[in-house]
Amino acid sequence: MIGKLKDPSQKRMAFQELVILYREKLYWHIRKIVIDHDDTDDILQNVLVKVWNNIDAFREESSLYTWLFRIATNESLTFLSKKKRRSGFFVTSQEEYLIGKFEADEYFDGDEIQKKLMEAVLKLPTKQRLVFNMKYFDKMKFTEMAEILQLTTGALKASYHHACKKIEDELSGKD
Amino acid sequence: MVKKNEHIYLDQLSREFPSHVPDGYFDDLTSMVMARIGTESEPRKEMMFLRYLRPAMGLAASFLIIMALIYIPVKVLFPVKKSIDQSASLTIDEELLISYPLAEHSLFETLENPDTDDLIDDDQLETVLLASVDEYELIDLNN
Repeated sequence: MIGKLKDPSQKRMAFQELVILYREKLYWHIRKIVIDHDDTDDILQNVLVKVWNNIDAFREESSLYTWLFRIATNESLTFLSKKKRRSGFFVTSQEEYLIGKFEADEYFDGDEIQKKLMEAVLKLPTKQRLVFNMKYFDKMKFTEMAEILQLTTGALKASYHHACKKIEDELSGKD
Repeated sequence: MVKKNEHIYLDQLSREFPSHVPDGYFDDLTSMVMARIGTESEPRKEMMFLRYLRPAMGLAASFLIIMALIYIPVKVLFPVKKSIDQSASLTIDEELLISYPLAEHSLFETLENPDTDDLIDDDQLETVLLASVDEYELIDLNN
């Protein structure tokens, strides 16, 4: 696929195949970070356009899948970091912003315990939440995550273990 | 259902992300992205060209402004006097040069102006008059 993407005569068709192949995985990866569907849609489109514009610069040091997810992760984290806003004398934290988005989410279809689970997950620090999402919901291997996030598997395992402990304590009412 | 004070383990819960997307969203997404890359790729090439040209144009403009700021005041404050060596522009054949003790012009001025104290003697007058008469006229005058 990479060969076709770098061939001007086949680039457009190959890119369409890429979009169809990865659109859902990329969407949910971004959605778990930013929560809101419309924000996810904006970010995902920007990610795909960025991939189109930079495919020639892709050095193939990692797999295409890793490269796509790395771009999506960076764009999502950048989006969140810009969302810190001032409202009067108060600063809305990222956590408050995301919980607000989650409570207003018309596409949420979980039960009460899943709602509590999401609220507990949103209280985690951003990068720990990212690790938790990729392992718990996406069922990724630590080696895959290490390539995307450019962290060691040891650091990822430790981070995931602590995240699980925090969430379980939160769900069990032990905070 | 979770009992009060019961410890909850994540393994007990569903690992599906509890959310969905609007119907037809992913198909629409593909169409939207393909339409976007069609419009955004060409301007990007122009932007790349401009991105390199802009700094060069800026440098050139800055250089011209600096030169103007230096050149114009120098030109105004220190104008260059043109010295024309008129004799250098003339081609003089020394054999044809006839020197007069008095220029013909000043001779007539003197004659016409009674207020001047310049005196003309007869030899000077004769010299000027002879210089303006050619040999033919001289012969004719004597006949």
